[in-house]
Amino acid sequence: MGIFDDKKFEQLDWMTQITEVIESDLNTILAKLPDVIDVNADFLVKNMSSGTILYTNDIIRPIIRNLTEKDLSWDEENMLSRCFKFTTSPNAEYNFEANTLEGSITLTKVEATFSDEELQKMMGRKGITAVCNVDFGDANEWPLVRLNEILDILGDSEQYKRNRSYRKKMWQIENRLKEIFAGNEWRIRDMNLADQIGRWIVSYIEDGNLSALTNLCKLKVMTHSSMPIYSMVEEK
Amino acid sequence: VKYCDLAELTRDLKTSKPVYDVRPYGPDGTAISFVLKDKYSPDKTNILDPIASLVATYYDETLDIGRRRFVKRIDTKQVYRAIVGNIKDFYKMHATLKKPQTSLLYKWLDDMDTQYNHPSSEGFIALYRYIHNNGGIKGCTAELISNVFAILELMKGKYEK
Repeated sequence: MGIFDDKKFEQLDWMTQITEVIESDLNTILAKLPDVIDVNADFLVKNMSSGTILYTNDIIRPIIRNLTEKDLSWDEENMLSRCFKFTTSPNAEYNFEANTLEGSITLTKVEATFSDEELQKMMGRKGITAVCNVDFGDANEWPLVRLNEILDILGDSEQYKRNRSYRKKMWQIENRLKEIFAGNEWRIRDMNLADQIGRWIVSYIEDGNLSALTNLCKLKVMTHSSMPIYSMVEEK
Repeated sequence: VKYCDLAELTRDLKTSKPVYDVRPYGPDGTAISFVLKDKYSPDKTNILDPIASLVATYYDETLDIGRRRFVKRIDTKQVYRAIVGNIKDFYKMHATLKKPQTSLLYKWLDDMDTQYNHPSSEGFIALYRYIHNNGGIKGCTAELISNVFAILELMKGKYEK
């Protein structure tokens, strides 16, 4: 097995290989969510403490958290919640004191899968968030050399490499990641792999973790193959 | 010692029943809202007592989540400020002074409008009733004006530190 092999890609059917469909856990979770959810009085009685408006999020979020141990971001949970719509029977009435509901309130799944366009917008976002949250405290300790190495790998950052401002370098790393994912420059088609990129960058900048740098370099090399990337053998 | 028990005047006021109409809210069924079916509002036309009427103006209710019903809420300090404020307005309107706000009596009233539950509060409540049962600030007689001014001077003499 070569160090640049993409095992996941090799296992895909030819149609998926050609169409380069994005692999995402969000579609798996969405499939597991029920198609129709009846909102009953017992649910409403708990909700009334948080206000008199009930959003799809309020119902879907606890179900997702029960369904998966995966730590989804707020945006991902919102994205899943947007696949549901409320329908209420005419003259539906809720008596809070007696905790009775006349009529019905249902939440119906209106989207079965996410399109690649929707998923592309979420690509690498967790990693980018990790990059945004890097905080070294004392500015004297900023590893400018490591920041330049990362900028070198991400490309298109010559002027920022010359700049002495660590803030500008960090800003450019964040910006480049956004550009790479928005323009699908590296053709990464797996959401988890895309999220890892930002985390490797953070790990290398913060701790000088060489495995993280190796993974990033390996991935960058794989992008030269002009093939979609679904997985890689990660150095631990 | 409780000199001022305005909350007592909310005894006859009612609260809304927490029964809600469920309606779509926002675009494309992303949310539903619970709109109170019959919101209770005190009918002030049937309240004869000026203080009770003022209390009804400031009356509100709040949803007690634990008890699952609305409970009465009245900011008695706010009502008290309104009572003393009204007496201050009466003084400003009818005092023959060029600048009534600079008078010692007005300054004393200014100090008193936050003195909720002060021994003088009973007096202010009674005075408010007296003014509004006899024509109010605008429709009062010269006799009422001189009586009110005399009472205020007496109160100032009695309660001023």
